[in-house]
Amino acid sequence: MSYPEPTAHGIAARELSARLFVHLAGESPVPASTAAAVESVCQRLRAELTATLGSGGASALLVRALHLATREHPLLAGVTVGNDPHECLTALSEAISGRSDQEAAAAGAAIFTHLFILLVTFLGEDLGLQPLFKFWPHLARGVEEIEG
Amino acid sequence: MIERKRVEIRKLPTGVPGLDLVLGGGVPEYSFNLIAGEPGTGKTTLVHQFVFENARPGCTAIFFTILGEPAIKMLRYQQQYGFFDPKKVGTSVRFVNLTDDVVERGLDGVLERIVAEVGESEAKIVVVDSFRSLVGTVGGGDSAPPDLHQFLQRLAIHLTSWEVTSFLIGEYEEADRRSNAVFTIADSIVWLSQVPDNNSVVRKIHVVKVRGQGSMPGLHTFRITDDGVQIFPRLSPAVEEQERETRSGRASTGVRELDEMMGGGIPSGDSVLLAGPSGSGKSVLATQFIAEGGKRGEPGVLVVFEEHPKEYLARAEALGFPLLRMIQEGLLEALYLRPLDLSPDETLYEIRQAVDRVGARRVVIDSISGFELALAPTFRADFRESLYRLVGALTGVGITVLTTMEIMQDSSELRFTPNVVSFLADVLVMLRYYEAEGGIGRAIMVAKMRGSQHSKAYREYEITNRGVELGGDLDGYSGRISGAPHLSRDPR
Repeated sequence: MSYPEPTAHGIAARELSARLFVHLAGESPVPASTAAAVESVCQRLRAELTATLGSGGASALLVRALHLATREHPLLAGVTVGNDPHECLTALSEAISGRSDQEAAAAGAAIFTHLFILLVTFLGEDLGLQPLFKFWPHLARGVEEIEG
Repeated sequence: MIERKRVEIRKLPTGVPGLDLVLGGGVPEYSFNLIAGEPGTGKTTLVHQFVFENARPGCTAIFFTILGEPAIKMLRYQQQYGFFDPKKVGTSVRFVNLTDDVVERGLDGVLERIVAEVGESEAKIVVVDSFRSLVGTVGGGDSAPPDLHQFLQRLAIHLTSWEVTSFLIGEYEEADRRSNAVFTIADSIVWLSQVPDNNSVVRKIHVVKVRGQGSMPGLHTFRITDDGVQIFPRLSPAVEEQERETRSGRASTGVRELDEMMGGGIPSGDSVLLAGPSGSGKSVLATQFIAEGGKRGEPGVLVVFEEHPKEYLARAEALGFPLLRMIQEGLLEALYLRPLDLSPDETLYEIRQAVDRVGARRVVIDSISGFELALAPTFRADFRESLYRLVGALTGVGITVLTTMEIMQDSSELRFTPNVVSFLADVLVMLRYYEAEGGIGRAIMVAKMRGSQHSKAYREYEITNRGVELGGDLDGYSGRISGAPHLSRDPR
């Protein structure tokens, strides 16, 4: 596995994020299912990242990922990274309710696409994606398929 | 007589080349250690090397990070080093951030968390980085919190009783050593520093204490490379003497007549100083010495400071000395050392590595002045000592060492050793120019041979396309030392 340049990097992260969503919420989730899946992934990853990087480090990465995702999906503009361990992303449900299933799913997945890209950028693939593969180990095999 | 059965303390390898020797064998198992020094001295890198060297299933490590360098940056940069094995991270090596614990619950919270994590994981190696940041945060600045001593006692006792080998990493200054409780409680203290001096920076390591084992005293230089920290122990000749190997016989110089002047060649394992002015043929003679070794199946190491070995080897080839072939056949290694910030011990390390690789019996150092220039300025003040240790360490294991030295020659005086380094040489060979009958000639003499008879003659020599060739004795001339000899009687 390797990410030789940002493009390949992004494609793999996007694919990884998409597979994660399909795994958690099915092929065509309704916005409410998307919100639940995003919140669930966010809470688990934040807890794992906090253990290694501290709450400040984990939050900084999530805030940045959310910022980048919002640029692609302005509907996320009102969403923030919260401090409550039981609510990682505040106002997410409100932001995506009333949107099409596809729009909502794409916005949710974009947050993790950018989080994965940031993690790989800073920590490399082996360490950066470790928290993800800890919870969803089958996705590691998925990355190898993406990379060919 | 009472038979004493002492506890045997296992020593863990550090994974840092040279450090085990300095520590006296490694890190005592279950010890509570402090790695101290100013920011940027390599403390975290050194401890990471230990962690990755020792961590494995059944001997896991927890690296607690507290404030100081953010964990994300530390992981990002540390994984660049060759020793960092990402596959161990998350399994044998876990990184745990304690920032929230210290901010919210102070020292008690930190202790509770460490105790819980160690208990849960049964870790055998624990690192706290940075301990100074922890203390500073809790104490509200540089002052130590009142319960620090108690915290340290509890932490040390807990980790030791859980059979953990632990490291506290901290940014400390010399002044801290007098008053800080951590220096009292730690079983060992390793101090890292870097000292700028005349445009160069020299890194040094000092084992301040190690309980229960003899460490190597003094300051030792180290370098941080892509493979991490590498230490160059400051070996004294006394240490080298332990492995002294006495060789008998003579090492031919490659010049038959010069061998005859020496009574059959250089006594094996001796050091030879070949001194002469510029252009007198020192490097040519050194080349012949190495090439002769090749002919006799005695591998050599050629240490060149002043010119690139390519040029050196090309000149040797032009004179008919097949040094390139010797390299191909594994009989010679040519080292080029010219960084201008070397320490004597790093130089010695490089030479010893090359000596071991080829099984060298002969070493040429060309030249002493080049070696002096390659050293960081701080070591030039102790140059004689450096040279003494370098030559002593090589001859101590039976290697015949030939060093060259450029000397000034004026018409009225011959100064044998301007840097007063001749005491290092068992054999001193002088090359010089002389003027006679309107021409310039070259002359060679063996000025000194410890414990061995030698010719006192002054002989002419030429540098030909076959190397140095000796001619007749200047026996009939007077005023040879002055450089302007005149024929006082018929030469023999």
